[in-house]
Amino acid sequence: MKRIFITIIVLAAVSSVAGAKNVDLVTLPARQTVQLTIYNSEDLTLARETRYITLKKGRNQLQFSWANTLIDPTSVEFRPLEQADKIEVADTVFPGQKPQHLIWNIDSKIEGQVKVEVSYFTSGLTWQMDYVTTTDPEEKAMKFRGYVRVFNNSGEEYENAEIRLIVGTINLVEKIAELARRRGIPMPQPLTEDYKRWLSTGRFKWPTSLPRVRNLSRSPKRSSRKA
Amino acid sequence: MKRVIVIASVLAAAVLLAAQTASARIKLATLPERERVEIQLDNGRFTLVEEERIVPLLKSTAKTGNNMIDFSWSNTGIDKDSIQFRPLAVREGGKFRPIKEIEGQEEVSVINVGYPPNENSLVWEVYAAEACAVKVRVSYLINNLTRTFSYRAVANKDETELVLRKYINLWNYSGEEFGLAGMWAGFGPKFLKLVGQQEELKMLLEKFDKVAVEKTFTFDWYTHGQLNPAKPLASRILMHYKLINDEKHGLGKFPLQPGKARIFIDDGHGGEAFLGEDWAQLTPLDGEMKLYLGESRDVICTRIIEKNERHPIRGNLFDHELIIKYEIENYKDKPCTLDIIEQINRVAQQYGTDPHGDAEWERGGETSKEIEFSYPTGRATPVLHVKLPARPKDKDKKVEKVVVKFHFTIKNLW
Repeated sequence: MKRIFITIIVLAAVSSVAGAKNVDLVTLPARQTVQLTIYNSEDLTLARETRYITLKKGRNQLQFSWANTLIDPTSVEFRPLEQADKIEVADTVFPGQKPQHLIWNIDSKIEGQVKVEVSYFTSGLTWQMDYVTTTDPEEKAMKFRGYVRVFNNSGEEYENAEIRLIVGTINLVEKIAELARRRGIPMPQPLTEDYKRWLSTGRFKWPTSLPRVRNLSRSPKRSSRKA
Repeated sequence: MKRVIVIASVLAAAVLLAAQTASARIKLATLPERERVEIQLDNGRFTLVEEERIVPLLKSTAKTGNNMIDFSWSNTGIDKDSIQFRPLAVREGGKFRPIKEIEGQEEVSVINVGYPPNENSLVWEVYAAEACAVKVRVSYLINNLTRTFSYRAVANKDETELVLRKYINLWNYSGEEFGLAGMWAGFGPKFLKLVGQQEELKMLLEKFDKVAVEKTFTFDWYTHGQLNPAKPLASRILMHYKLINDEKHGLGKFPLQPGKARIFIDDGHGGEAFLGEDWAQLTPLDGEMKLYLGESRDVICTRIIEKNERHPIRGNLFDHELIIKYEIENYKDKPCTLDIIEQINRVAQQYGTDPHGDAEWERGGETSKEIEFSYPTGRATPVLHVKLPARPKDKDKKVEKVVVKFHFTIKNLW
């Protein structure tokens, strides 16, 4: 079941707080192509998908949501593939009320349909190689077949995906699976000892509604495909 | 939901004084709206918020007393001791003019501040020479409204230039909504943004289109050790992108703050391949930033001690002569330079001698002429730069092994 949606918010009031709205009218542009680059040294896949969206002149709001998937929210990028010099992402908003959800505020100098790319890192996709060899009766030559098995526990279905498999190490400073469990942008650096002492004086009151780390309750789904 | 409220009370002073106590239940107050909000994000932990409001004031008289202005907040991380109130201007004929002095006293001034017990609020007693509308600035430090920085770098295919995007990530868990607020991180552009409660905003701070970059390969035996048991004399070679934060290298607008950098490379087919990520360090103007890319599999260096002799001088004083031979292979399609870091103090220690501070050493005559030397971290840690040719275009030909020698004598050891 698809869980990643990109929506164009039709009633895009510039002066309103997008995240505060509870009633939206949206259009849902379909995914045209998807490319997955799966690394086997880390639990990391770079997904790139293209979609056609229709923009109006001025400010547009584009909503991207990925409920119950393992996407790293800090990695989600929007890139116009056409007329890139006339389309600009003003900012990316991660509304507090809606987890696994972001809104791009996009300034467009053109009106009409454009092809865009949305890319992100996800965890939960892995691959492994299997080999089957058949020797001739003299055991002097063999047929050698290599199979790749792709496992998808990412929470999202990718139909007709172009798959690239990467061997070798890659340097990551944070695990994608951990970032996927966090909301939005990672919290700033931990408090210093001086500041903790200041907090302990009792003059400071923490907000009652601190951000919660949300646990993804997804049913593990294991699928495999032989190529 | 707004949780910071300024109340300009319009009751008589006697009633207002009573209103400061917990027993007072009946208040009549005006609620001046925020006219303007500026958020200063220079400091990563304490954020300065300055808001301007227009407050109606009554004329202070002996009978009615002064104006009492109540500032209260709930469930927000405001530092109570940091709150400041400054009258800025008085409305006169539809326009605001600066505060002026009347008979040696400012026409609007704060007399004192009261802190009601067990409440997140304070009360300013404000003198006004005449009834007027005054523009005031309330400023305070607030917690949990802060920012981080992140980078996205895309290298060209030759790895000589980067497109570097620097983002500011604003993080508002302060408990307060600020509406449309001006924001500034202390450098770069100023933003006018809606800042909602529990909202995170990612904004492009600056895009540097042509950042000159140098890809470095570093071999440091004493820091990285043996590559693996099968190659006991080889060590890991680390790859970095080196950027200089100055105009000549396509940067130099402001210091680069620490943050996560994700590095991509143009794949030559209109797309980008992910190379890895690293924490970018604070890089002042003219400073150097190094982004770690991982270990090189294309450049291999083996370090062999070819000569290792002690030469007695007198008593227990001696010199230690060494020749270190490096056998280097470059399997890349492009030429590159290998930076070999030699730690002379560690060499002396390895062979059983404490150099007693930085070792005194001199270069020997058998040192290869191809090696260029530099001393970025001091003379006891020379860096040997060795240029390597690209692998042969004919794939059947063997990669040329570059052999260089570093001949040196550590002096006056005991």
